[in-house]
Amino acid sequence: MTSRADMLRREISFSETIESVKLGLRYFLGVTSARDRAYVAFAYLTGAVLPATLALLNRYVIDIASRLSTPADDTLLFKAIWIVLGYFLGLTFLDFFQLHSNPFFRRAFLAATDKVGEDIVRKCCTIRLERFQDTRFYEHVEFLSGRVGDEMMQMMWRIMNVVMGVLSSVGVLALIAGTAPVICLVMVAGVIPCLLLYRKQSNIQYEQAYWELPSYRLVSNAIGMFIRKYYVNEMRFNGLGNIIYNKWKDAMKEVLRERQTLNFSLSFYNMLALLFMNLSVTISLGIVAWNIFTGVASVGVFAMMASAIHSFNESLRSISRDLIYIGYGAKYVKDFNDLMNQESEVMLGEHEPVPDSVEIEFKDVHFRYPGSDRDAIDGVSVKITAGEKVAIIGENGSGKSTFAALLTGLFAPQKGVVMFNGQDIMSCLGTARKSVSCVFQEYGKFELPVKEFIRIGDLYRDVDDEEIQEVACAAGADGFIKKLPNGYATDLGTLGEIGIDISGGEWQRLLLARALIRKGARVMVLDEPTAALDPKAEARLYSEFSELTGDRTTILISHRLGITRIVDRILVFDKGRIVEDGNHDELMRRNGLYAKMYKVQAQWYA
Amino acid sequence: MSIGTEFRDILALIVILGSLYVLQSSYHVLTEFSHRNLLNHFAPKMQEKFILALDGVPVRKFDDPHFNDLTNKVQGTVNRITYFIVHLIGFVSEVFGTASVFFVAARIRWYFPVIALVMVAIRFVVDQAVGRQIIDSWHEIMPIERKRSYFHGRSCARDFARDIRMLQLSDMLATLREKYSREIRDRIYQINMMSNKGYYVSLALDSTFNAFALISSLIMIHKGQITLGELTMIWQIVQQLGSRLNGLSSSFFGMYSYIADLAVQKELLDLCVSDERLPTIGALDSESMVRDLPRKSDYVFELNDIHFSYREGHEALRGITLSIPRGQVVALCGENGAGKSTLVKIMLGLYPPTSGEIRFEGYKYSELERDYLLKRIGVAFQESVRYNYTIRENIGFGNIAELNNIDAIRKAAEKGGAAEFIRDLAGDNYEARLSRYLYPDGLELSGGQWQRLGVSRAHIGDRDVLIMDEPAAQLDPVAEYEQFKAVREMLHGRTAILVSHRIGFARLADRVIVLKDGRVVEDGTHEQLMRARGEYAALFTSQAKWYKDLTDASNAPGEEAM
Repeated sequence: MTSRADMLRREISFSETIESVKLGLRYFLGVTSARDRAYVAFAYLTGAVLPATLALLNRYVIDIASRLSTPADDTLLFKAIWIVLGYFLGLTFLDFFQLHSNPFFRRAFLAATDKVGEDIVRKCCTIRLERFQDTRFYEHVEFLSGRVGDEMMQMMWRIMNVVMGVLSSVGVLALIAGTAPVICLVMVAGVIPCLLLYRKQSNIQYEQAYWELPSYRLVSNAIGMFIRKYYVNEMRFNGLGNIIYNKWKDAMKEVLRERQTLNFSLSFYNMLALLFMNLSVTISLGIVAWNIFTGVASVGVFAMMASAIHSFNESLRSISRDLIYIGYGAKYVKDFNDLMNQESEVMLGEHEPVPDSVEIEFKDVHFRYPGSDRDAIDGVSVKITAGEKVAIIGENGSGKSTFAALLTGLFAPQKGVVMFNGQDIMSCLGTARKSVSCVFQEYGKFELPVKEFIRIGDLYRDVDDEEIQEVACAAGADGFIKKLPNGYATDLGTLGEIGIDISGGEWQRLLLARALIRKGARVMVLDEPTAALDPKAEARLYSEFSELTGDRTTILISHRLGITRIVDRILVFDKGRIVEDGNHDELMRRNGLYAKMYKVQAQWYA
Repeated sequence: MSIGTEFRDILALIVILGSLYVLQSSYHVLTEFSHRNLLNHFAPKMQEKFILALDGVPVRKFDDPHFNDLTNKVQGTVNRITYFIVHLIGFVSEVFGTASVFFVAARIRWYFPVIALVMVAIRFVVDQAVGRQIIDSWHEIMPIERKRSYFHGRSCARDFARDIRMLQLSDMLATLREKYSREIRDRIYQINMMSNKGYYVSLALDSTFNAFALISSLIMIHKGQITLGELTMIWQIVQQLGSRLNGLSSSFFGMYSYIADLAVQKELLDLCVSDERLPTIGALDSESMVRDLPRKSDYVFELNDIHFSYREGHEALRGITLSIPRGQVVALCGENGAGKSTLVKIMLGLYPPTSGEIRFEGYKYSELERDYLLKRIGVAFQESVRYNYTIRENIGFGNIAELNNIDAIRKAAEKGGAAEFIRDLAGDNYEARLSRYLYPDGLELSGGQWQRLGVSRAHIGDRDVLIMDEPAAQLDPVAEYEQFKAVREMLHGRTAILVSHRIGFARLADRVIVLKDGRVVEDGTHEQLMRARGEYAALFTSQAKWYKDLTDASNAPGEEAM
């Protein structure tokens, strides 16, 4: 398990920063057109020359004004008017162009951010499932997933700002250096403490983002309980509002405390940095005043220098801040890069055809959930031959669902091996996934149109509406679907125009239909597919069981022992092991766990 | 006056200037500080208000898509009201700032502020027109954004992880995300194009005014009407005025765009005004004692012609009349969608019937105190909630009066069949936290184990009435059996209503009520209904046939051939 301290990247080396910047640049260049890039470049270049020209104008105006204040001829005035007019025309044009290009490069930045988001989605979808069992890792991923796109683009933005800042400072710097070079030294000296302070500030900010995460998730958890329908009946009937409200409040207090501390330190470091900058500006102005006083410079120079020093100071401050915060963003980008390098499921054999028949063998398989102190699957060896129909029976928590997850390669055993047609399943995961069709006990209620929900059961081939209706009928779902406001096109959940909330039994029928649409599958894994179905629907399903499963290798996990008659073989699980293995009659004769469970259930109907 | 003293004067001025810079910086730092401070304090306050309001919303509203849409919107914008406040404060301070600049400008030339005012007026007109369009566009973006973040979020949602991997949905999710992202990008692009129109206008105005001011002051200085110092001041003021106006317009615009969010929030808060008698925050704490009421009827529940519909024209319950006497164990049977769970929710007072009347021990529900039913009825809900809290809380939440009574909780765990795995997995530690989702040391339970906790919730405090909706759906056969045995044993004079698809248990009941399409179609004992060969018999045999021809064998296992 990764500890929190490891996740926190306090420092980041220069080469790592460069790597992060390169990655950001790759994303940016990958999505932008030549036109977008040209706009960005031009907008920045124009932005770069503005401050120096403004300072020059200031100098010119003051100087010319001081000449105008003594009696002068009108030609000088007209010349000045033309220059001022020309300047503003030029300025307006440049500003206009900058405004005009703004939407283009904003779109370019958004596109890059979205590309990062898309890559994260792909990664999270394929990351090894066991990793999700690690709370800290999980919250880290969840956090990055929502944030890194923005952080990366802000980093790029800052890089551009630094470039622009440097370009625009060059002109101003030349002005200052030409008038009083010592001022440059004073101002650069002023910026050094700023760099250190901003660095400190950015480290705190980065750490805080991670520190508050556990508390913040508790806050969201509590809020969710007020919002989601799932909770509302119990919340209301049991009067839990007050208790959950207090839990929200406690967690929120924690978050707030951290945020307030952050706010204080951010302001403190910022104030200190500004003090240093103000000091250097004041000293610089003093030097200018001295130069004028001693007659080295004209009065117009003061106006120019005041403007130049201001803009130079502003540039220095924002350059130093941006420079440091590039490092800050680079940390997130590095985190993102680490995430992208996490072990993914390797879909080997995905493009090979599905084998005609599938045989599965567990060889002394052990599996333990991360952080647990016991094996959930504790030495299971079993061979399921092609076309065999196997039922898995056992008490709650005996390892049945974990067995199903191992069998489909969702988890990799720590010891032993799961063989798929004689090959380690992890080395042919692509083929295995394509060959298996399943209904799991825990499922995601995808908010898609009904038709799409069934259709995603087999994305390897084209499926038409007729076929969808056909499997829906077979799964007993057609009846309720037709009663929905838009039939098969009805959006499930609340994302669509009309929100539809279907019952557990109805979801289960959709899940079954979704499993059936994968007609090419050679293996079916059904984990309690009828828990929420009424007796009639369940009876109908099981009476058609052999038609539905055909000659596929079938693994059926169920608490309904009556249906064990329709399978070839029963595996009884207890504490992660297979304790009994045989058909119904054999196991009844053995008079063990299976017989006990069967009798207990059968007596209801005797 | 010597040269030295003169420069000391200048130096003093420079020092004053420096202090003014420091003051200005402090102002910026303070403003930032207070904005963050405001966000830190105000956002939680809004969230609090939101939570409190939601806790008072009638339960039925949660079935209403419009309501869900609103809560989603509000949840997404709950922080935004803070931004509104920030912009409002910004706006007010800009107004003062601008006014002071106006004042100074007016002292130089009376027509300066007049020109500036005209500029302000033009800008506001443009801003408002553009702003309205932009707000509309943002409202179109919101639902798309919701879809995008939904599909984005699924990629690392735990309950979707298996499906995503088994069905290889990564392409689908990534493509959907990109599809919605592209729509959003295009719209934002349009919005930026639109707001540019506003910016163009202010740019033109600014430049013209700046050029005008500068040129006219040059002319004035030429005519000797002003001094060089005054010219510098005018020039400074004009620049100040420009940036002030920009600030004014952007804070106004910011404020304006958040007004729409306020409207959404208000709409939700209006919906939240509840007249239903259910516990809400503040109404209930674990110490509050509910007054005992003298029984007015020997019937626990009396329902008279109850109708209920979730949506217009689609009745879930169509005239249910029944009475359940004290001490009776009732099995409620029927197919999926027959209305069983809806009936349970009506009995629990979660849904008010559309028409008809319901009484508890002779009292109308409107006559009862909010938590009276809670005090009397233990419930196991159909989809029992998995609380990401401790084991103790997961059980104690069934009756918060006993939340800290560990003995009562242990007893309930025993009855609900949870005690064994709590010993096994958690070392009998009831303070163990559940779900790895939030806690690194959290325990992960299987579906059946969670259900046992849900059932224990009904048993806590041994209340007179027990209602269980599908308490055994995910239980293994032994647990299922023990559970019904426990229910039967504890029911000394207690009333129970059991809903289950495991139809066999109905034999334990004193009475079986069968629902079909929202009506009671059969009502009697197991034997009576079996003889009637109706709906119940059909349900029963459809399940029993799996055991029928083998039950003989199980009675005499040794003699079974083969």
